[in-house]
Amino acid sequence: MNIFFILLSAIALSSALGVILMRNPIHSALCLIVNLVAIAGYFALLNAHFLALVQIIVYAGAIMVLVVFVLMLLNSKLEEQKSAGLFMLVVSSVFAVMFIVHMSKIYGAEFSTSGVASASLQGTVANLGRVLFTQYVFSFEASAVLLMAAIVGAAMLAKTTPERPRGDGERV
Amino acid sequence: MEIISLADLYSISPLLFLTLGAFGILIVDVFSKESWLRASYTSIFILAALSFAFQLADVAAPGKTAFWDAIYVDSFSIYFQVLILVGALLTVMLSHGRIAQEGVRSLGEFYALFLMSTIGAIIFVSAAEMVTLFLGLEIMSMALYCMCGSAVHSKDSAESALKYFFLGSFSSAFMLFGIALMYGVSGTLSLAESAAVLSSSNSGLVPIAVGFVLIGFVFKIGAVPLHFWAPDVYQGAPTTVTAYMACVVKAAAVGAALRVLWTSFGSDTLFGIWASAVWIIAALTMVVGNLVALRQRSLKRMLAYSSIAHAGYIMVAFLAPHQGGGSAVLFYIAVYTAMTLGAFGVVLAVASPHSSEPDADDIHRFQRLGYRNPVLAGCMTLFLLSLAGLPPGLAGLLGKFYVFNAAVQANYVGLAIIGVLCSAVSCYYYLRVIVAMYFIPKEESDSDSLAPLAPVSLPFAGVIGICAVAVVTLGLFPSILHDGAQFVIENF
Repeated sequence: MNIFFILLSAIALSSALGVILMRNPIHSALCLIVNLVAIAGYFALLNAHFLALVQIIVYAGAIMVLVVFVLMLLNSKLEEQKSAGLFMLVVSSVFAVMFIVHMSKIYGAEFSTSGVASASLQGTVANLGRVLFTQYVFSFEASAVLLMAAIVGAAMLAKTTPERPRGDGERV
Repeated sequence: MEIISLADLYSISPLLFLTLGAFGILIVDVFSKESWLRASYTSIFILAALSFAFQLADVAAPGKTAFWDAIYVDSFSIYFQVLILVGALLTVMLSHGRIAQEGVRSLGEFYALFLMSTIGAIIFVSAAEMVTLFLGLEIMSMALYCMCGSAVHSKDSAESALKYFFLGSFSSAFMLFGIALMYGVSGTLSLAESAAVLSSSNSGLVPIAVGFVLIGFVFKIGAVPLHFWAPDVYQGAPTTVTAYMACVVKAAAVGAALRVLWTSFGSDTLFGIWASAVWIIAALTMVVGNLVALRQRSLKRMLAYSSIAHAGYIMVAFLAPHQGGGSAVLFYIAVYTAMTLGAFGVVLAVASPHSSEPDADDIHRFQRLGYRNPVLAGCMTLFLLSLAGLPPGLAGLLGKFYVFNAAVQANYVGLAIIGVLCSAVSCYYYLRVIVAMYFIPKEESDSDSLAPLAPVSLPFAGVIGICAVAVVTLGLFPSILHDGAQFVIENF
């Protein structure tokens, strides 16, 4: 356990607390960015450079910008302090217990490392690229179809067409 | 070593044709506004994929894989590829002219998504490792979410798309988590290789992983604890999409579930873990699906609950891996596809083209159909009787016989009894439609107030005819398909 790990943990935990304790949603969102960057630090410590970069670009970058935009566009008023209802309390404690049980199972569980490359290579960008274009080339190409489906679908749903059909004229 | 060999490419040739079609139709859409052109363009690419899928049977071998063990090229995956492609082809025939009436504006995008969803379904059933499996599931679902909402001006369609999207993403997340745990325990993504490690591992994570993966499959199959989405989604989506979901997507989910449960979780210790869960799920699915179907007036909703009930019958056979359960599943899913697609074809032909009307597919629209259009009513009777499993000579009865026979041989007599009883209950709601079609006196019916039936178009007649012939042929000569199914399972 090195000094960086302790430092990152302190940042991650305090910013996570900030996410749920801050009154202003924008402040919560900013705390979440700090939290995500700290988690990216964990990945870098574990030699997973690519994952660390993706974590910052995708989560701390793209997704958080989206969250902040939504907060600004919806012009959300400061949430009134509401007392949590009994139902919410029961549901959240059930999920909390489930989470703790699950984590206790994972803690100390033996994970197989047989399929993992040597520690000096794993997670580096070069190694990832090599695996992606050999062993996982099919999945890599298939994800292109997935992205295409998402783009075409989004375009179809967002396209504002007049109520009248374009060319078919079959609707009476 | 070469990264992609020609043999690899050949083994995914159906997928290549479908991808080409999906991207090509977006270009065709720019230049032509003709509806029939887009439908026939789609059909041609599905036909090409289908013929290559048949060709693949020559190179298939048990356990053979392509693309660095990413996908299987065995008779099991080819059986399901053919089934999916035939289902997709029939659905395209049903879609022609009809989806525009149901409010779908962007036909080019619709058919592109349709082909991509079929690509996902094929990847889903042929996947040999878990990343590919999950990608197939997501491609199929992502395209399907958008297809559900493709009638952009209809509130029902939007509701159906949103419900399906949220619940589907939720269940996918569960499945992904299960896959991550499986990888964590076994250290391999391959379905076949993980089996040995998982069965010898005594980690407490294995049951959790099995449970999470099972949740993902149960949702896609539409079995009971996770069936709530099905009726609303089926009713709100354009009817063609509903038919596609009830047949092709369900077939793909059944195939993939069978593969994962019997390959990765196939050892005796793991079978013990999921068998009791599947027992309860199958029993609940049969009971709830059939009981709730009794009260439906909308034919689309009725067929939705009926498809839930049939998912229950199919899951019964999951429990008999060594007693003929496999060939029973393969036979049943093919017969189910024919019966349900045919029934949806008739519903489409009879229901009001304006799906926004609240009673567009209500049962009263079927009143005295036997006198208004005897051929259509005859075919519908055939499909409904076969779905109910009533007379000998129709395929539905034989499908149920194989399933329950396998269950009895595997010592699940209780489950088989529940299944037979539920099947008897189901006769009520299937026969109710037949009664409405034939046995309502002219004075009591309001069929005169209904708009006269539009003439049944040629593609519609084709679909209904093909399905009716399939139901009767497989009922009289089941060995045509059942022998093939047994061959597939022997080479599993």
